[in-house]
Amino acid sequence: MNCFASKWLVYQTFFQLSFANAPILERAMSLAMVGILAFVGALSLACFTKAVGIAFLGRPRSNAAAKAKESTTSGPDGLILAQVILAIACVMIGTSVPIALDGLAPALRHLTHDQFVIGSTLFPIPQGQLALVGGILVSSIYLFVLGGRSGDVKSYITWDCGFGPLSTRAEETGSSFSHPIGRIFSQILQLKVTTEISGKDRRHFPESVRVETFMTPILETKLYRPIMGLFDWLSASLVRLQTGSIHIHLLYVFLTMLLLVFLGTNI
Amino acid sequence: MIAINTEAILETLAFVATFLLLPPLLVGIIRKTKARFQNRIGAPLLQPYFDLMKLMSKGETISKHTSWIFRSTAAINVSLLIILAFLAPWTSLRPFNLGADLFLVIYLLALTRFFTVLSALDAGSAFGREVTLALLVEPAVILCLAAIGSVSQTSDLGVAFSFNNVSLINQPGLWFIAGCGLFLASLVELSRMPADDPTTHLELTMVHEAMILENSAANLALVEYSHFLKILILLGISSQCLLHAIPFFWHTSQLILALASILSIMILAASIAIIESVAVKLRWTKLPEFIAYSVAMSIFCVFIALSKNLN
Amino acid sequence: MILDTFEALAMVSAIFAILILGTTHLRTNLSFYSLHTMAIAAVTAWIANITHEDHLYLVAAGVFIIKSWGIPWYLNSVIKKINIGTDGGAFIAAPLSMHLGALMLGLSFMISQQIPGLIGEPDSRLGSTAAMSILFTGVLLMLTRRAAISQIVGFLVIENGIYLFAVTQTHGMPLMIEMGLLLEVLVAVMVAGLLLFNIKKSFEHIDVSQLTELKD
Repeated sequence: MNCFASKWLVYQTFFQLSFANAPILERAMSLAMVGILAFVGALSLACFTKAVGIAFLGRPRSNAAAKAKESTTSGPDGLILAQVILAIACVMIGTSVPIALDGLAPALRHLTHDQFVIGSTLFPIPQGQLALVGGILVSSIYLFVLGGRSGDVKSYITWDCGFGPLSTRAEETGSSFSHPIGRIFSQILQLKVTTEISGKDRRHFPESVRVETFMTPILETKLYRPIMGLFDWLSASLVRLQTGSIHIHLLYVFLTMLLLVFLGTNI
Repeated sequence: MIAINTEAILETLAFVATFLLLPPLLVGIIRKTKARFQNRIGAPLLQPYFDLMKLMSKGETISKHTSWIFRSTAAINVSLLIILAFLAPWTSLRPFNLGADLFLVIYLLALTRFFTVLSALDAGSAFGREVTLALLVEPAVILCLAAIGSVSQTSDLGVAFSFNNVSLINQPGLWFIAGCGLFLASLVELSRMPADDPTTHLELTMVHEAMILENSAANLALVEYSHFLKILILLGISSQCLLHAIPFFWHTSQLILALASILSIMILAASIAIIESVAVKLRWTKLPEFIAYSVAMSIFCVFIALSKNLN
Repeated sequence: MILDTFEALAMVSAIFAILILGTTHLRTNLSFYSLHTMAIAAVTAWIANITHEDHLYLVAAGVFIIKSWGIPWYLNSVIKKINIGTDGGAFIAAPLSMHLGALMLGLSFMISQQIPGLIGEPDSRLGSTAAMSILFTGVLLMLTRRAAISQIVGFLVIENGIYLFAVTQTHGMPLMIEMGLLLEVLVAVMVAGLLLFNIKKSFEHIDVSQLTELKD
């Protein structure tokens, strides 16, 4: 909740800038930032889902994880207590954003040289009330709709598509959760999948299938290394200026056109 | 003090009844239209209501690997969406304005998705792909709404969508493009056809259905109902955008507006059905191409918003 | 700002041109091209209405019949005959190039604010914005696509951009020249279609990026 509050403030900043009395380029940039922030927000949502889901939910993925216990040597209560205190602090700040902002107001006044900044008016969303209403709704639905009939709840294995009980290996794992994202951004992340099937009649009755995925962030490997070899490339590319490819040729025409337009209009 | 009169109470009651009862009817319309397209008579329009009632009375089966998160997800989602229905401007007749902040609406939507995925992971099933889609659609939705908000100079959607905002009155282009962008985005967000086949029975091709495979009985009823509510809200927002593009609706009475907004939601539902009958599910790698159209629409919206506030 | 009707139509045609960039499916490309040209014909007709230059009506009809029906129909039949449904591959992914096209629209808006104005009546900055963005879109289309059909469509889009610029800024050229241009475009597309058959026959593909092999 406090995370949402701070994010909301960042969004608001850019959003207010987009119709403020500013140069058009700045306003365009601010709206673009809103879009980028939305994308980052969605990515972080996926990341949190992955972290929570993989770490805490479902069945243990390995034997070691199945036997995992709270550490006994360093006092388990202290470990848990620390987390609980942090969680309570989060909820406290989240439900009382205006008060927290009031605390920050002197710093804001100092930064903006604006004496009339009032922290509590910056964040108009009644998060505490919303959370309360939500909590009441959830519990009432839970009690009246689901809780009334907990007697005839049967328990059974997870749906297995009719193949027989699923092993833990069939579960969603960290890399499989992020796999589709990697696939879609394969141009940036360089996702590589190698599949190895062994056995006699390999197509239909494989004895073992081995799939490995590699993800190489292109920005790290492909952006910094070329700078090292930039001069190499420069000398080589001078030779390749005219290869006879129609696309290269068109690119020259296009770039020259752009250059001329820019020279002519001195933007 | 708020003056309490019978008219306000009646309006509120009508509003609550609409958003509680309309969603299954929408799904009925979609299914009926699809059936007619496939030359079938199809189930009656009210079938989704019967389905929900039947599900409520069934005995429940849950996986033994689940924890409390799985059990409470459905309840959380329904209540989140009910709050959203109070906040978001999905119909033009709203008895009260609680202040629907743009980013709040979008983050509440994201929160429902978070819980749906968590419950799927909780049961230890092998499917959890919906997040990727949401990831790609999110910028488009936010940019469309932010462009509208930027023109009206407020981030409160309730104010931006009320028909008395002077700065938005002569902007049919903006409204129309935003409506198209939001409609395309909500097709993906609601897991309808080009992104996902809602009627598939093959687990490998499921996106949304795979998430709710484990739910049954009352739990499933709640999950289905929250999905229906989501359809109502998202289609409602995009249909509101399209309605604002037509100058006629700026000068009519409240009653016509209310009827028009409900009617336009139904028309959008029918057009979803038509799209689903004509189009095929896209391959996963082809999907960004489809979503890109919605993002492009949102970029056009941003341009219009920028040029509007020029000098 | 409030748009004139013809400016709004010009913007619509620019948006359709950008939507061409979004998919590699050739038939969809052609139908978007057809819509785009229809919008241009409508712009021409509307300008004729404003300025009372009757020959522009004829030009609009010509554009409508030849460019937005004839050429797409002909190219569609070519596609059917050489049996190629989608562009083999783009150098930049299609969604990305569409967003690039949208950015180009913003860029051309800034450029058109800067160019020395042609004082015509109506003086239209947005008209030149749309024309320039169509020009850029066509160039992007030719730059990023591999199939020869896409190159033809890109060429046609560029031609449309130039035409739109002329129409919105100077209200078009004399009727004879306009008609000659239309005929020339038609002939060019016909010849390009015939060339396509030949390329397909001798190389088994229409990938222009592999035409560099002609060297040896």
